[in-house]
Amino acid sequence: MYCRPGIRFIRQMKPMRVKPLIVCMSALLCMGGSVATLHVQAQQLNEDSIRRVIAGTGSDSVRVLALLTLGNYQLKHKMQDSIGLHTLEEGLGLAGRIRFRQGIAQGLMIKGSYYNSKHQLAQSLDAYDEMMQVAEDIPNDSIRNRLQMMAYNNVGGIYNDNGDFRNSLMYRLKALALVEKYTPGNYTNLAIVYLNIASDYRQLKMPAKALEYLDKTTAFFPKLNERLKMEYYYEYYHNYLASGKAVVAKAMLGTIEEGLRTFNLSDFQKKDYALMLAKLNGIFQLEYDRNYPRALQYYQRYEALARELKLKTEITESLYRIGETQLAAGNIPAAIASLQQSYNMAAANGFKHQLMKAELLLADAHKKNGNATEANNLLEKAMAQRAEIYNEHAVKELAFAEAQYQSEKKKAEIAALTLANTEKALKIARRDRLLLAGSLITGLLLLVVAWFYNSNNRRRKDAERAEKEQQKQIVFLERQQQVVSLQSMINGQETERTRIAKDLHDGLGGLFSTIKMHLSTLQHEVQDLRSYPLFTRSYELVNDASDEVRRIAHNMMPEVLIRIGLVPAVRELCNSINAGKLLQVKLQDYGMEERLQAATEIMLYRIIQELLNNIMKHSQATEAVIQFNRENNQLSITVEDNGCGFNVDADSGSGRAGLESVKSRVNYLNGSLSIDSQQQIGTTVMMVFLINH
Amino acid sequence: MIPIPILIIDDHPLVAGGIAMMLRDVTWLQVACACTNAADALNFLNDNTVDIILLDISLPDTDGLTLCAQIRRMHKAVKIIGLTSINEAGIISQFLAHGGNGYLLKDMGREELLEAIDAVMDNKVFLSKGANQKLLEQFCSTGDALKNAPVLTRREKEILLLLHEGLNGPQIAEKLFLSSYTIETHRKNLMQKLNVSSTQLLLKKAKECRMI
Repeated sequence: MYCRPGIRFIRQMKPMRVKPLIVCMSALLCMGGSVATLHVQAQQLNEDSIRRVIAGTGSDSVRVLALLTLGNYQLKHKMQDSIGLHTLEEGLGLAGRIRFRQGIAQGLMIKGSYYNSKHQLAQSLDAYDEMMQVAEDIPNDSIRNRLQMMAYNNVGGIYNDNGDFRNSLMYRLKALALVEKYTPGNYTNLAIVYLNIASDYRQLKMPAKALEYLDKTTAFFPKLNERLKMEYYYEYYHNYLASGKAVVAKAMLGTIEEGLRTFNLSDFQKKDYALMLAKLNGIFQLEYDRNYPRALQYYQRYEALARELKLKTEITESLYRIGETQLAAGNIPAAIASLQQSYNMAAANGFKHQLMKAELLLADAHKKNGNATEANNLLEKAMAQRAEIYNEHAVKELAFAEAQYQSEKKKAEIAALTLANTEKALKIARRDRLLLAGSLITGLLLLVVAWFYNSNNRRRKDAERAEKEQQKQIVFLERQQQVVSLQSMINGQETERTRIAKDLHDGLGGLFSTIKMHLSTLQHEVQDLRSYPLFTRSYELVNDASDEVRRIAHNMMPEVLIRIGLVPAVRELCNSINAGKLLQVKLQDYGMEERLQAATEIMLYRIIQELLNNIMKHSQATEAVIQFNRENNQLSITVEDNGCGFNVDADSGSGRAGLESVKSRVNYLNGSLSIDSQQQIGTTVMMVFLINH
Repeated sequence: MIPIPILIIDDHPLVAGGIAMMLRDVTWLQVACACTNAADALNFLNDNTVDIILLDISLPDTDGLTLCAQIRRMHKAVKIIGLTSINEAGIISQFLAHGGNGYLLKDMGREELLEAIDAVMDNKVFLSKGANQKLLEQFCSTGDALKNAPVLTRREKEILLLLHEGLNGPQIAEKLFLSSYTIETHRKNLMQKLNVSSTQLLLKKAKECRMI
């Protein structure tokens, strides 16, 4: 596996015209002055001397850094995952025991970087998050800011690796803010962040923006270390190419070659950059200059370097590039041979993307060779391969999304914990007398303000309430006035009726009765009178007059209502209606043993009288029911008929006046009225009253 | 033969005079006294005994029905005949319930009066023709309602069926376009009519009565 601190390649779906470079800040690269003794190139790490430091009598913090350096070396260069992780945890444990926050942060950074390389994104993001938390508490401004900046930069790298260039850019810009604010003179850091931002912009297809950041780097270019200078050249080259400036880009390749020759680089770096340069030159010759022999030369050099560095992916790709060039040059058998080699290697190592590319190009070559069957076979394989790759890509994206989600969740939990801790701390702080006094004064001030506000508010509310109350009272009084006037009107009416009825009964009725008695006596004493038709007719007329007076009196005010009660009075009413045979009224009463107030009874009687009148006059009903239900102080009266029904909401119509009088009387008794009428089925009137004892 | 003493209680002197006139040639009857109010009548009855009392129901001081009961408590044997212009079944039946022996309407003729006196003296109950008619009307028209099972209104039947189907008050209200309050009142009425304390018992009782 190709791995190198600071620079990583990522696979792309398209033929690799442009290779993104990602500069990752490693712990080793950025530890800076405070741990200068350990600032060594990984390739030259002397394990023994490191172990001596670890076993030695030096300070624990130095031992932590030694353990971390060793762990990093084992993880990234010796591929000793379990040993490396163990060493790392040892370092982290020791750092934790001695509360060496900088050590913890650096250990976490190595961990995050390691997990990222293993595509264990959730763990990676977690490690970086934890690192940011730890870094937060480091009192030393420069160390803290550098660590946070590195965390941001490297988290940006994770997003970049996963194709999320926006988030990547966001983190890098955060890192940049820290760098510009706290270490403006640290050109290395500045350059790393600038270069990474340029890379993000380039991949967001904004080469102009990318070049802007590269130009910023140009200002302090001479101050950069040589490795960063090389990265700078590469980034420039890619952005020139992306902006369509092929000529300038080609010139940049020359610059890189110049740098490679003159810069003081390690052997490994020299070979690494030479490999990159050979590849880029090959691509340029093949795709821009179309000089196939030159391209082939560069690619063969690329292959040789890859084999020398034992980088299998690069060997596979170099073979593919060679085949591609031979195919373009028309040398089909050679192309097939090279592509087949690349294909075999990709298949053996599981480089799916490279495999697909080889298949596609091999199919092309076989087709040109006239072997359509083989070509089709390969195309099918390639399609299947592509589907698988897309699938994997999707899974990877999902995994990343999941990792992000988990990380966010953890962040939220941590935030909650931090809040709780802060609250706790605040509680402790409150014990402080100064704070207590301060809070007392604040409290008093608040109280005064609150009191002012409250009293003001209260006064306003009181005024509002008073106004509302007044309004309510006015409405109430108006209503009372209405009630009283209605009451006095109705009462007056009923009193008048009672008086007239009594006068009719006792006065006129008595007179007629007496006349009749006299006539009866006269008839008895003068037997001949029976033969006088005039006498007989007079006798009959007096009889009729007496009946009429009684009927009128009864209608005015039934004696039974006054003397016996509502239900017998209503029963009387029903009896007389039923006697007419046109309408049969049934009466049922429940809980009506106790009498109501006389005025109420009269009122209810009038209501029922009116409703029965309406039924008889307008409904054509043949049956009706009157029902009294009293339970405690609630009385409901139901009057139901089987008549033709009427429109309850209509403003006018037969029986409307009668209905209005019913409504006003129900209102007067503070009752509720529900009239429910269905055409050709009937009408149900229900009234509910609260009875005062 | 000693004539049978009669007390007339009527606030209308003309009426008392008319009665006295009708009875003036009936030798076996004698109007002992005519009082215009209850107090006078009770005073008279404290010191005197009569066999027949003609009692008007409209009196200025006491209700005739009340007076009837009062007299009956003191004088078990006296025959009390209501003599009024009120022909209302409720009053008639109440008068009889309060201890009256007969009920006459004031527009009676001489024969009817004598007939009534004869009847009550024979320990019979006498009702004038009109009063008799009223009582019969009442009896006929209340026939249904006097049965044990109450008669349900149309709405009550509907609501009972919907309750039986498992609907609740608000659902029934929505279905019948009525207010929940009205439905609730109907339901309460049903429970009262069937003398039950819950909707469940209501449905049970209604089933027993074959209402649903």
